[in-house]
Amino acid sequence: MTQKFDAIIIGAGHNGLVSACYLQKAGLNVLVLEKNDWIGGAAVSRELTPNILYSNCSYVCSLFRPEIMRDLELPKHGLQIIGIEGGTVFTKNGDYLASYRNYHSKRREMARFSNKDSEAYERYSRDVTRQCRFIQPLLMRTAPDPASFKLKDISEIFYLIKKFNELTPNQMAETIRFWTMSISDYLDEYFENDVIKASLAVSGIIGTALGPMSPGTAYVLLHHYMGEVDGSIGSWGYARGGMGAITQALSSSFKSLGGTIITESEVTNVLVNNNSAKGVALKNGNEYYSSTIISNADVKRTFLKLVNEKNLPKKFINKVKNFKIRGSSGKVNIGLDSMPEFPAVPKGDPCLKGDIHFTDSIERMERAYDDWKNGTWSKDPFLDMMIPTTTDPTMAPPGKHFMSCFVQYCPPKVYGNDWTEANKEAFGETVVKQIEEYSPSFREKIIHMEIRTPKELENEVGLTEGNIFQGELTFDQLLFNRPIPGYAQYRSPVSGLYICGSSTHPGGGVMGAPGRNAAIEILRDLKKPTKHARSAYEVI
Amino acid sequence: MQEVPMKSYDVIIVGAGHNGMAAAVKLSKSGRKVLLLESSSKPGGMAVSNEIFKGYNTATLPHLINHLSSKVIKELDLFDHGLEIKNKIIPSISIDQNHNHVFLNGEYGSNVEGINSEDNHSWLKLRKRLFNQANLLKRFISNTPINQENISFLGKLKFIKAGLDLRLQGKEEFQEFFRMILMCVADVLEEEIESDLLSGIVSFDSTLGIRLGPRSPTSLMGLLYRFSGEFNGQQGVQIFPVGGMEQLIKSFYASVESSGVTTLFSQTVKNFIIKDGKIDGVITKEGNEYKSRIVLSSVSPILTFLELIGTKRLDTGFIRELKSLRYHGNVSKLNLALDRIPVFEGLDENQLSSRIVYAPSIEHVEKNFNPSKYQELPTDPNFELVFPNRFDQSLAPNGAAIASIIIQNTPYNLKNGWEKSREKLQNDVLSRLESFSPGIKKSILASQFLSPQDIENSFNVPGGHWHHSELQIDRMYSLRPVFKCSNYKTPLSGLYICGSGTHPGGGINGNSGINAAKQIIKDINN
Repeated sequence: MTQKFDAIIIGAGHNGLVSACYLQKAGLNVLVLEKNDWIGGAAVSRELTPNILYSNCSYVCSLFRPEIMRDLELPKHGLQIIGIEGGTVFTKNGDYLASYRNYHSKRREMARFSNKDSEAYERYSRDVTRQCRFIQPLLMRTAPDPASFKLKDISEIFYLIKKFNELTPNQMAETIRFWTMSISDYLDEYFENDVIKASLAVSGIIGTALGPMSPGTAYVLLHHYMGEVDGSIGSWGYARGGMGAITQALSSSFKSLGGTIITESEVTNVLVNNNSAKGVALKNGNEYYSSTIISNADVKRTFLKLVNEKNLPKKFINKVKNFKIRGSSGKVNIGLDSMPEFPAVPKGDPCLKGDIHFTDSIERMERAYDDWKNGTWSKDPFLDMMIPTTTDPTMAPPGKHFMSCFVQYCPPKVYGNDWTEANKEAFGETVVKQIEEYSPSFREKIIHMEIRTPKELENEVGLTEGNIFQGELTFDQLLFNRPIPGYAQYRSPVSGLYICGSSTHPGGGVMGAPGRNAAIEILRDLKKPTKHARSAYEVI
Repeated sequence: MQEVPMKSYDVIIVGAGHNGMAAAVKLSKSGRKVLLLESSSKPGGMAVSNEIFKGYNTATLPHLINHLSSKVIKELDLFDHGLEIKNKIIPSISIDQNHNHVFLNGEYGSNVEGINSEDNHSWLKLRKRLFNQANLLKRFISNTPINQENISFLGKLKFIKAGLDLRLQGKEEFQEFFRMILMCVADVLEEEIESDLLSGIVSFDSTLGIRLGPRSPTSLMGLLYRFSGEFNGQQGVQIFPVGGMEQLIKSFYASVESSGVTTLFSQTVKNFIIKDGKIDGVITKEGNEYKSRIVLSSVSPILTFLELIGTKRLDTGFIRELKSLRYHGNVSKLNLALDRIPVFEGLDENQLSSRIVYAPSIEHVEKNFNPSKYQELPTDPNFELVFPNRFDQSLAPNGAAIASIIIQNTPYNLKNGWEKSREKLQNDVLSRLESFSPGIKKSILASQFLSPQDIENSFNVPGGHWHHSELQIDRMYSLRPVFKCSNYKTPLSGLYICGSGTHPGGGINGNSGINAAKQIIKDINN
């Protein structure tokens, strides 16, 4: 079977779909190919046990860019984000530190642990918000190539310098410092209490193969903070109906524009002729042709697996090989018979509706990381646990619940060997045990449990090493270095072949920005209008 | 001690470390009347030497030079004042338990023995690239950083020029610079090098003296900083002066004396005299008062601001910033007097004239770093060892040896306390040493051990940090010690600072003293 399209997108993850929508909207005839029999990549809701929907990969939403939501009219296609009401950290001594959406309640709760820290929080949130404001506009712009002498790149560099110059000298110094610090050192400059520090350090480590004491984690914190829900920067929300609601809305928007999605179509090869992309070959023998191919897969999978190496320069391949994608997290998804009880917290406290943590000190987080460095999963892991069904009743029948436990750290291999079933069980048991410590009757309530190690994530969703960001968010892999210096503008050495996944600027999370930015670059190459993509400033 | 009546000076310098002395000479030569005050009985600060056993003389802390600025040598005419360097380049050895040592000869391994030819090829390529990057950074090391006063376009021109020069070297070098500059050293090495021993020693050198492991992002910066050092146009080398480190300090002091500076020893500054919000002199613990409208403090920023000035005189924002300095040291020193020349398996006697590093792999260095995060000691510490009397025989009796050992990852604060841990740490190091050189333990006549806490007490450096405060990227250049003071000026009018806590920081280089002096001269002339 052969068919011709204006553009073909490999992978129906959220970035692939965002790209697809923007291209289709510009008048192209776009085809999206997905290997699984469901779409959404790592932003999915799946019924793994009867009647309970699982956000079994990504589990909360905040980073998704509001500009994209408006451009693609996602609310019209059913997307609804509900703000999270609170969160809590349980402490070893039976207490808990709650945090609430209400700023004053949050500070009152902090004051229970340290008055000084509660005061400092004001300064802290102001400073972090300032950093966010500085970086937010960068998300929706293609990073300039500083090595290039093209007018476009030079003018973009000058634009960025101009932006930077708007800061006062002191703010400049603070910004530069912030970018290179560890979250632990950064928090030490504001806070004294360990529990408070641990609760704030969380965003600095999620998804990365770094501990809270590694320089650069302050930036990772920013990466998690620069999202927004309903215009409130840094807040997080649940997508009603699970994370799949986002990709379902995207798919609906795409289809309403006339686009085509074909599932169960695994692309095995990108067809290249004369250094130009010609089409794709599928595992089932089909071929589709187009001179514009966009890969939503990560950079390693795209260039080391989908493209024949004879079509790529050797130096480029080496650089792709050197790109750091490190699996560092696992996931345990649990279906529950009833709401677990946490004796430490008053029943019905809204702090249980958000992220629940059991790691009450930076040292415990860092030690969890040491285990990973040693080659195994953390014996006292850091859990980012959520029960979305406390907020969103559409995911489970009344009384029943879905619980998502994001677990750090979890390596792609155990002491260099592949994961065995026994390892996987032991990993799940570590998680259940930790929860049991704070909720004694927890185990009895479990009706179904799915344990996902990086291996599962790689096999199912196609994320190399199961890294949720499609590549580490370290400085050497950000901005014009992401994924590879000289190829940070979504293009590749093969003309007509593009990448649009989280491997590209501005990186991971269910953000959609890479997909949108890639679409704009593609439209520029095709000399098509890009007016329908609003600039970041129009919306802010 | 000579008796000096209360007098007034143009400039008073607190602390006769190498930076204080460099500044004194520069200021005195510009025609100022300079008073140099030192709390101990001899010059040198942390770079002093002592006799650990009769006839055994050794540098108490730093035992090699790898950063001495040629600008400083010139300003102070050190060669005319007794500095002499004979055996120019000291090789390094990464020692191996199975005696398959790796030898880094020449300018930081311009010629490496003990690795396979493929590694050799990759190493030379990587080394060339790193040297090149270090050269770029070097432009910024010897000068005053961009600061509040010159942050305008002209100040930034230096960066733009450096960027352009780099770009002219080709796209590849340009891109690699911006990719690598903030990387962790482990990633850089793993991309290129297979040899564990070579990677081990490079990891060690990148993180020595700072609280980072080879897998901590930005750790490559430590190596680039090291490579930015040079001597006589030879980059990344370590050298040893004739007469030992003591002679280096002597040459500094000789220059101080010949330039007409008044130096007073055993005068510990207790606090500053402040009049109308301006500095007006210093008072010493010994009860003396010295007047001057300009004071340059070469002691650590923490000591200068939080103890000598006190928090009352400074605004809260500034104090908060200072308190955020990470000034707790992580390095200990062990000096041994040995009754014979030790024998190392796989090394001949000549090869003992090297810097010997025990850091067998990246993993080992990283595992050594881990406990230090939790105020614990490593079980098998990495260390750097030299035998100073191999470079200059006059430092120890004939046929004997001094071992000078720098031990990494020994935090200032220990959960168990240093009293309980110091014996164990020394034993761990000695047992490891024994495994390389059987019998060495028995040959020990005397030993001297300094933990960061001992360094704090002996040298009056809060936190006992060799660089006064962490030399990590978030506290380098304009951000060192804090942005407000990066031009060596302080919020207190008339008070200036220099020393390791200011740009460019660690190592015996003296740039900070010279830069601070220049700033003072500039301000007086205005």
